[in-house]
Amino acid sequence: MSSDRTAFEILIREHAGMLTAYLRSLCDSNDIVEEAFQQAVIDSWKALETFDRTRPFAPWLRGIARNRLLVLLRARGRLRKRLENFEQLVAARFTRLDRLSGDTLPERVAALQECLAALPEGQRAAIDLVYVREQDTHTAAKVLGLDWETLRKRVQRARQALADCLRNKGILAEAGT
Amino acid sequence: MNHENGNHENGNHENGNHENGNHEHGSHEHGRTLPKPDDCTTDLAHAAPDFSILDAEPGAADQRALEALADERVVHGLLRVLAPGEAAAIERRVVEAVIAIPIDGSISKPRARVAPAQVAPARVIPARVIQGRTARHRAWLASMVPALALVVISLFLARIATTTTPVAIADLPSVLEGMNKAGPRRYSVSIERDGTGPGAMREGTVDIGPGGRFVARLGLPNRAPAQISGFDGERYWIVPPQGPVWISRSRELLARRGELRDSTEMLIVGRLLRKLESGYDVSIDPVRQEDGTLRFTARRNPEISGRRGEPTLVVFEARENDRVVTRLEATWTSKAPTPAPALADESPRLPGLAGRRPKRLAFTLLESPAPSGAWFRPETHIDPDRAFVTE
Repeated sequence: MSSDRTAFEILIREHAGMLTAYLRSLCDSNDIVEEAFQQAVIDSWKALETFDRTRPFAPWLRGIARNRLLVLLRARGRLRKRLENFEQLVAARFTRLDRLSGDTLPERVAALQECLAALPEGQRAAIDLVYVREQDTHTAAKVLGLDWETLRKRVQRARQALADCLRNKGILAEAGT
Repeated sequence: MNHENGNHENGNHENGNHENGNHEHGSHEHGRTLPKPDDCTTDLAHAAPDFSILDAEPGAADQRALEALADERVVHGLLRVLAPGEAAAIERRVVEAVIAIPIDGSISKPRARVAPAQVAPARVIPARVIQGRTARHRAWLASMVPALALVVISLFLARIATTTTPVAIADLPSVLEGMNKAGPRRYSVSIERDGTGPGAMREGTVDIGPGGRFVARLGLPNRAPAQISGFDGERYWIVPPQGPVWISRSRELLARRGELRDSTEMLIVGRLLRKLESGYDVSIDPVRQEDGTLRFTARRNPEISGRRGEPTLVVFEARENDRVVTRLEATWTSKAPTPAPALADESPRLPGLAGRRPKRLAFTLLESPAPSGAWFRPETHIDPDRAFVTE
């Protein structure tokens, strides 16, 4: 039992980064993401005997997390009309990300780092302030000498540029695929 | 600089995928400047891609917009987990989740007064009733877990939906999110416990940083700080008046050895509010002040037996523009339960405070320079010759 738990913990730790990224792709609430993550881990432990070990673990774990997330959102009356359909689009992208090699999350998403390095200076600075230095957008806008709306748009354009870059590398699915 | 994806980078025009072609410097966005406050669209700190198109009626024409949103949301999710502090947060989540799995396999869940889940459990999981309490909910400190914050939000929203204006409904989630996402800031703080004399009082400052980081510097009134404690994103630490510096990855360190014991995390404004768990019947009475702040009041229902150490009344004000809390006062009535007894008591503390009932806790936002990231590390606050003890 103890060794099973240890092995399970190692497995969860291996997938925790991508699972968190998946949940954050679908929800911005830290509270809901944290709760869905924990419940997904608990649920997956309970259901481990039902897991088909010939199949990859990550999509199975994501499926559990997906259901937990929907439960949490629906219980709070926060389930958006088309989130379940949207989730399929997101899940398809993470299925492609599952194929990336690497032992750690940064290794597996090294392509994203390459795309970040290729961003124009202004966009890269915005991403760096908001995501790496974790400055709120008001502070980031002040640092860059922009108004808040301009900063928001710049961050948005940077993310879209990163998505284009990842798509060009075959990592994100082409539209409609 | 390799200018890849040039269609996005040079002009001021958006690509129009789902923001309707707004100009970068425009702010009209069809009359809406901020995403709708919502449990899942409040990440203003990251200017996260807006989910609002998911509320639109399905139509084949917007499939491209959905695909583009999915791409951008995935990028957003990946960027979030690649942030420097996220590795420690992920590790904490893993540890907390694994700890929450009891040895006997019987899973428990915190008591909550929100409506039960209305959709089927995961397709791969046998349906099973989930009851009881997890290990992480046994102690006062554990009452600050995110699930309970959701309960608070739900209670707030359920309450204000019937008692206040629609404006208030939109305000509160953004206040809670503002506390999470605002940049580093400093509050003056005073803590009063039952009894008289200077021994019942502590005063000082609390600096709040991203990701739960904080530095609390507390001491007797009008004296230099006697004990400094904090969290640097990975380690909880305490610099007591004398003896070794304590460092741990577990926040229980603060309960065991901190000056305020289990009350230490009440020093984090956001966490204090999130403690208003299921033992409360929360009401919110938002009032717009002349200075543009919003005032909120949360009261504990006296008919409900509260958890140990929780305040009876919390009144706070938040700036209207960025939702940062500017003032907060928490009070305990004489009937409030005594906080849980301290655990091991090995650290030197100031006289007079230990064991007394909390009476009043007050914060005021200070207009001082925002602390840097290094400020939250213990090394910044100690003599390099002082001994460290890592738990």
